[in-house]
Amino acid sequence: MIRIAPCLSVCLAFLLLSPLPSEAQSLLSSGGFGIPVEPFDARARGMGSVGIGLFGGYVLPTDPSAAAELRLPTITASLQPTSGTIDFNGVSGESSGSRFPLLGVGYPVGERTVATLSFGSYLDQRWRAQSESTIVLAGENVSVTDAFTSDGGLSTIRIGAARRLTDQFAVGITGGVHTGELTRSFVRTFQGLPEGEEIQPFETTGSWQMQAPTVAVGAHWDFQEFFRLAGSVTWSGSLEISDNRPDADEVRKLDLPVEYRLGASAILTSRVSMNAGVGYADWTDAGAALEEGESTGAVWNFGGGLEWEGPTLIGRSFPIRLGYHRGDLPFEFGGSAPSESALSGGFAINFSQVENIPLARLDVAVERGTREAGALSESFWRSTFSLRLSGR
Amino acid sequence: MNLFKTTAALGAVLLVGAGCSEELPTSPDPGMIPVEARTVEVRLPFASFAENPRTYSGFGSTSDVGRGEIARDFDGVLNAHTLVRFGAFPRSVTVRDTAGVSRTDSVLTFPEGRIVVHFDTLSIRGEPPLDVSAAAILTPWQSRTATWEMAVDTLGGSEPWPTPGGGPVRSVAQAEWNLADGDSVVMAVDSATLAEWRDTTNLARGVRLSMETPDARVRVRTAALRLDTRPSVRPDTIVQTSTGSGSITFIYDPVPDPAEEVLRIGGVPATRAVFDLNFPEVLDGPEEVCEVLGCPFELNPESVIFASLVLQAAPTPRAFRPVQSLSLDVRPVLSPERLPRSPLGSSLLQAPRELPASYFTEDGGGSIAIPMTSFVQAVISGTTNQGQATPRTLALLSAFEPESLDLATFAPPGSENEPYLRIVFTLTDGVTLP
Repeated sequence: MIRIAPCLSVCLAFLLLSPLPSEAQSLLSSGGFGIPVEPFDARARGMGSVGIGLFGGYVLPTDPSAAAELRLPTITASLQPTSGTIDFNGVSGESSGSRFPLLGVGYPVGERTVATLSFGSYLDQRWRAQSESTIVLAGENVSVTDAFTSDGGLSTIRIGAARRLTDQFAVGITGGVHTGELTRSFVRTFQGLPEGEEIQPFETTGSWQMQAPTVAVGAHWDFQEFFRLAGSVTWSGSLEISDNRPDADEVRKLDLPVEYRLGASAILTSRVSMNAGVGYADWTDAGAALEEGESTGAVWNFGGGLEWEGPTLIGRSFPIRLGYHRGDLPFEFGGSAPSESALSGGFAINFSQVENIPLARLDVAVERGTREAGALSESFWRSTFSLRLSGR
Repeated sequence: MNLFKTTAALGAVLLVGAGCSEELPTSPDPGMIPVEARTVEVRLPFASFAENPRTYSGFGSTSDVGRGEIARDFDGVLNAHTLVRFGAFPRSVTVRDTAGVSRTDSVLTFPEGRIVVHFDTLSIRGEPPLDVSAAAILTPWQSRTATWEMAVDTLGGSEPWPTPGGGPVRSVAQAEWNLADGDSVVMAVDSATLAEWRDTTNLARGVRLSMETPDARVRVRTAALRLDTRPSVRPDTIVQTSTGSGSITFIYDPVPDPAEEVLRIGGVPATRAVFDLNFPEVLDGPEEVCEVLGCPFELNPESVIFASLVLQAAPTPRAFRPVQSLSLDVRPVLSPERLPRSPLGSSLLQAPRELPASYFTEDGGGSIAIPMTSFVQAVISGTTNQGQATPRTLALLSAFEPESLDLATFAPPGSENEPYLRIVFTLTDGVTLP
C-alpha cells in the first residue's frame, strides 16, 4: 500500500504550478468568451469519452457519481502538452503549450461514501493576434506592429460526495465555483525610427475577475458488472465579470449553460470493453451577453472508444485504448460554427495493483485532431498524462 | 516506497518536459484585433506649452574650468589673460657628490627657469604664428575670485586691479608660437623673478599669460614652471626640477550680458536657460490632428508615447562661439521660487547631448531634439512615478558647469525658429470584454 500524504504533496505541486488549468491552444479561443476545456484525465481522453460512464471508480468533475466506486483514497493529476498548426486565410502558424487540466482527490468516508475534491479547467481564453502596417507621422512612413493578447481562462474547483445506494446504483453531487481572471492587452510598437526618436510602445490593458457557482449531480447504474449507464447534469449560475480597475463598478453577467451528459460502457469480451457518450449544452443565453461575436446555440459532443486490457507483464496489466471524439464549440469564429474532432489512442502502466484496484498507474493518451471554422483550420497533437495514486 | 519514488520521478520528468515551450496561437489577421488605434503627431508651439523664458548666469567661476584662455581684441571685443600661480618650489634635491655618493641637498639656488605653456591646438582662432607673452603679476590676487576688474572679490572684501585685466605687470618673456612647432611654447624666466615666485607668502606671486597677436584667441591647457637648480654639493652640476601643482584661471572682458532675446547656455560663469511648463489640459487643434483624434482632445499621460523638445541653434557672437562641441543637459528645477539658486533634479537625458560647434556659426543652425517622453507624461499626470508633484520648470544648461567660455545659443520663443514640443499620441477606445 502507498501512503497518500506524500502523493498529495506531489499533486499539490502540480496544482500550484498551474493556477489556471486550461489546455486549449486554439485561435477559436478568440470567439465569444473562449473555448471549453474539458477536465478529463488520460483514460477518458484515450477512449474518446465525453467524460462519463467509464468502468471503475475515478474522480472526474463531469461524472460526479463515479467516485463512489473508489475503495481507497486516490489522487489523480493530469498533464497535457499540446502542439499544433494553424491555417487561417492561407497563413500558417504554430502553437504549443502545456497545461494541467485536472487534479482530483477522492477519499472514502465509511463503507459507501466517497468525498471528492477536484480542480479542473473550464474555459480557455488565451490567444493572440498580430498585424503589421504603416502609418504616416510628420510626413514620414513609420512601420507599426499591433498585437492583441488575450490571456486567461476559467477553472473550476469543486467539492462533492458520491455514494453507492446499492451495489448497482450510485449517485454523486458536487458544488463549487468557476473562477478565473482575464487580461486583454493591446500593444502598438514602432519600428525603423531614427536614433533618438524611439517611440515608446503604446499599451492599453484591461483585466477582469470572473466567478460563477456551479453544481453537478450524477448517477450511474451497473448491471451484472458488464454494463454501466451513467448521466449527469451540471448547472452553472451567471458568470459575474468584474473590472479590476478601482474606479469601475460595473459587473457584467453571462449566463453559463446547463450541461447534460449521458454515457455507457459495456464489456464486449473478457478483455475488451467499450464506452460511448453524448453531451449537450445550450449556449444561446451566454451568447446574448456578448458584444463581439455570437454563440452557436446548442452544442453536441459525441465520443466513444474501446479499452483492451492488453498484455500482462510481470503480473501487471497494460491496458490499451482507442477512441474518437467529435464536438461542436459554443462560439462562432468569423461567422462560422466551429467544431473539433480527434482520433485518440492511449495506454496505461499499472505499477502496482491489488486485484483490480490500481495503486499506482500512469495513463497516457495521444490525440490527433482538427478544428474547423470557416477560413480557419487547425490540426493538433494533444497528449495527456495522468498519474493516479491510491493508498491508505 | 520504491514504487512511490518511481512514480514521483516519472511525474517530475513529465512536469519538466511539459514546461519547455509555450507558444500562443497567433492570428495574422488585423480584423481579429478588437482595438482601433490612432496615432498622430502634434507640434505645440512654445507658447502652447511653456511660458516665462529667462536666463540666469553666475554658476561657477573661471578657476573651476581648470584651463586658461588668452585672447586679444578677438572679434574686436574679447580680451582674455590666463593667470597662473605656480606651486611651491622644491626644498631639496638628491644628487651624487663627487665621490659618487647620493646626497640630499637642501641648499638650492635657482639661476634660471622656463615657463612651458601647452595650448589646445583645436581651439586656435586667429592666424598663426601667434605672439604670446608672460608677465609677473605685481598686485595681490586670488585665483578663486579674480576677474577682469577685481584682483580679489570675496565676501570679506574686494580689491580691484589697479589696471583692469590684471595690471600692472612686469614683462618676463615673449614667444612666438607656430602650430608647426608643436602644441607648446617655452619662455625663459630670470633668477630675480624666480626668487619672487619662490616666496609663498607673496600674495602677488603669479604670471599673467597674454595674447599679443590681435584678433586671436586660444585655449591654454596647462602652464608649468621648469626650474634649473645648482646643488651646493655639486656646484658644477645643473639639476632640472619643477614646482608643485599650482592654480590656473583666466580673466576676460567683456562678460556677455544676460541674454534677453535668446535662449543661451554655457560660458563662465555658466548661463542657464529656464522656462515654465504650462501644458494645456485639452487640445483643440490643429485641424489635421482633430480629424484623427477628435477635438477637443483631453491630454492624458497614457496616450503620450513620444515627446521631445526641439530647439533650433542660433548664431553665437564670434567672440564666444564654441570652438568645440558643447554638452547640453536638461533638468527640472525643483524649487523655482529659489532661482537662480534652486536645486535641480535628475537629468532628463540618458547622456548629455553633444552640440556641434558648427551649429552656432552664421551659416550653421541645426535642430536639437531632446527626448523627454517620461517627463511630459509626468507633467500631464501631475505626479512622478514616486508619487511626488512633477516639477513644472525646466532648465537647459551645460552638462559640465562651467565648461568653457563658449556659449550655445538657441532661437528664442516668438521667433521664426522658436522651440516647439513634438508629441506623438496613440489613442484607443480601450480594451473591452468580448
